[in-house]
Amino acid sequence: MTMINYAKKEIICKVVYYGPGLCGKTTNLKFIYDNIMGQYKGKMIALATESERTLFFDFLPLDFGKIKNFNAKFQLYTVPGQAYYTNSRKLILKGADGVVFVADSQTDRFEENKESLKDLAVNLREQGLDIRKIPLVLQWNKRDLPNIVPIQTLEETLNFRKVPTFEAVAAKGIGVFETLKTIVKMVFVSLGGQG
Amino acid sequence: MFKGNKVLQPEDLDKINDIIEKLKVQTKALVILVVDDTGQLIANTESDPSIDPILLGTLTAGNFGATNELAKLIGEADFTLVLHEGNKENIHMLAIGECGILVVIFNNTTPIGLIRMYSQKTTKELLPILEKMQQEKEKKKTDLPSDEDLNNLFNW
Ligand SMILES: Nc1nc2c(ncn2[C@@H]2O[C@H](COP(=O)(O)OP(=O)(O)OP(=O)(O)O)[C@@H](O)[C@H]2O)c(=O)[nH]1
Ligand SMILES: [Mg+2]
Repeated sequence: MTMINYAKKEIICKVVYYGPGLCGKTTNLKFIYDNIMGQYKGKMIALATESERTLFFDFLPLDFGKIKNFNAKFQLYTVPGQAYYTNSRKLILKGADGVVFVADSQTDRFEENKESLKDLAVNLREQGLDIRKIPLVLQWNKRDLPNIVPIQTLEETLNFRKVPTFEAVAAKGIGVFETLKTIVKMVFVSLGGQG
Repeated sequence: MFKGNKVLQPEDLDKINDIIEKLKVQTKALVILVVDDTGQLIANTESDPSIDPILLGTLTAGNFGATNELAKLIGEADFTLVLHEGNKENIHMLAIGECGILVVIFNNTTPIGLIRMYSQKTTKELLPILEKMQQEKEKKKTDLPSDEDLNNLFNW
């Protein structure tokens, strides 16, 4: 649910990074925070445990400045990936305008990716959103590791909608901005009415 | 056409600002915010720059949402009020129907009963305006960025 503020001439959109535990969601946001131009970013917060696992959410507000007559603002959230935090994930999806699903490419994480995608569908539905319609990008993360699932298999099992996908090594920033740019564009296009 | 979006018109923001400025005078609150149910800041009174209203909005909405999950767990339908008491400063959050949250930050010179009373009155005034925001229809689609605008934007 985008907020269009005619008084302040602002459009505010919410994008949620989703995916199984340890797949690299927080790493994506941190890389964006560390590398995006200073004028674009606000303060990042990470509600995490001592061991840096996300406990509730990470939040990074981005301000792209003036596009046409409006100030375009994007608020990026990550969910906690660990299975038992499903209630928190549901809360964070509230009002989402777009989702980035980060998959962990490692062979032994294959099932977790599938489960997390199902969990996303269910939680979106509970917020009145439809996984078949919401702007969605998939990221195949951790492509640098040795035991990984071939891209083709990931595409066949997870990309049921044939949405844009990106190979990534979020820890090194590879694929991170491509993913962000694509979801931002898709959200803008959906604002135009087709979505 | 925008579907399911919230549209805030200038005259509505003026009304919201007037209402919370009035509440600020009545309660001598330090800061007052109106946040929507997804954590987006709708309006806030001026405050000292060390307080970031956007972050405050996100955190209060998260806090409020988590508390409501707690409510469900113990069989309550909803907690409409959440209060955090500090040594000097306190946060009072009250649901504005199902549309948002009124957040009042105040210090110990103001009795909590006063905050509670005026907050309740204020949420009743705010509710119809927030409800209207969700029904507002978008007209000026041409104001949206074009592909070219986006490509320029992403010349990082
Ligand atoms: N080798 C490798 N490690 C990565 C990559 N991306 C992230 N990691 C590491 O994976 C671990 C988990 O990353 P996080 O970003 O915290 O994972 P998360 O998805 O936020 O996890 P939760 O908060 O528990 O849901 C960290 O140690 C990262 O450094 C990658 O592309 N390659
Ligand atoms: Mg995390």
